[in-house]
Amino acid sequence: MTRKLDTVQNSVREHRQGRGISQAALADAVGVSRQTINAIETGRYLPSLPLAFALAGYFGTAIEDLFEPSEGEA
Amino acid sequence: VEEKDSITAWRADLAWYLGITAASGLAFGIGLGPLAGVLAAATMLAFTLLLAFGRRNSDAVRVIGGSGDERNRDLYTRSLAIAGGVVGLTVTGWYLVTVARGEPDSTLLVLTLLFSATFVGSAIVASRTG
Repeated sequence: MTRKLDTVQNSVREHRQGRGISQAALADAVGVSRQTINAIETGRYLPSLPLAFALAGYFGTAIEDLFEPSEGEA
Repeated sequence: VEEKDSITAWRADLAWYLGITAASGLAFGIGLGPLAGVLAAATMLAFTLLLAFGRRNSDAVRVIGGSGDERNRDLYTRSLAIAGGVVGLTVTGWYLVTVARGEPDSTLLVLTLLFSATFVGSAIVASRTG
């Protein structure tokens, strides 16, 4: 069993649904495509730091509340 | 600023694709006749138009064109790396086959050296600036 240290979980979907907005609306707000928001929410894409800060700024939360490093097992 | 940069980058890409369109039409026209030239240019123009108009609605077209947001550009870079790797390995392998047959192909040798030099040079520059 090996430790996988590059896993990052996020709560973008929870924050977005809490605001009651669509992926498209969030995408417009932070300047990316709807597909990119979907990819972030489903864990298929790790955003850059500027985009992560933009998302945190939009939700008015600290970046570490939105993105949390985690140790996965491979 | 990012949107302006994106537009600037797209205009550079558009100029590049239109240049390839003209070059394709010219090369095929000179070598194979006017009809072949028109068909080659039309094919490249259709591809250019697909990128120009399809990028607004299609994630895949944005990736192919290298436009869009950071994820599109990241996927574009990865796709380009895969395509470049496949071509590099194919050309190198093909050259080695010609060597094994006792008839080394000089064109494949030049392409192999070009691929190797470009890859190593890019890696050195990237490691210093990235």
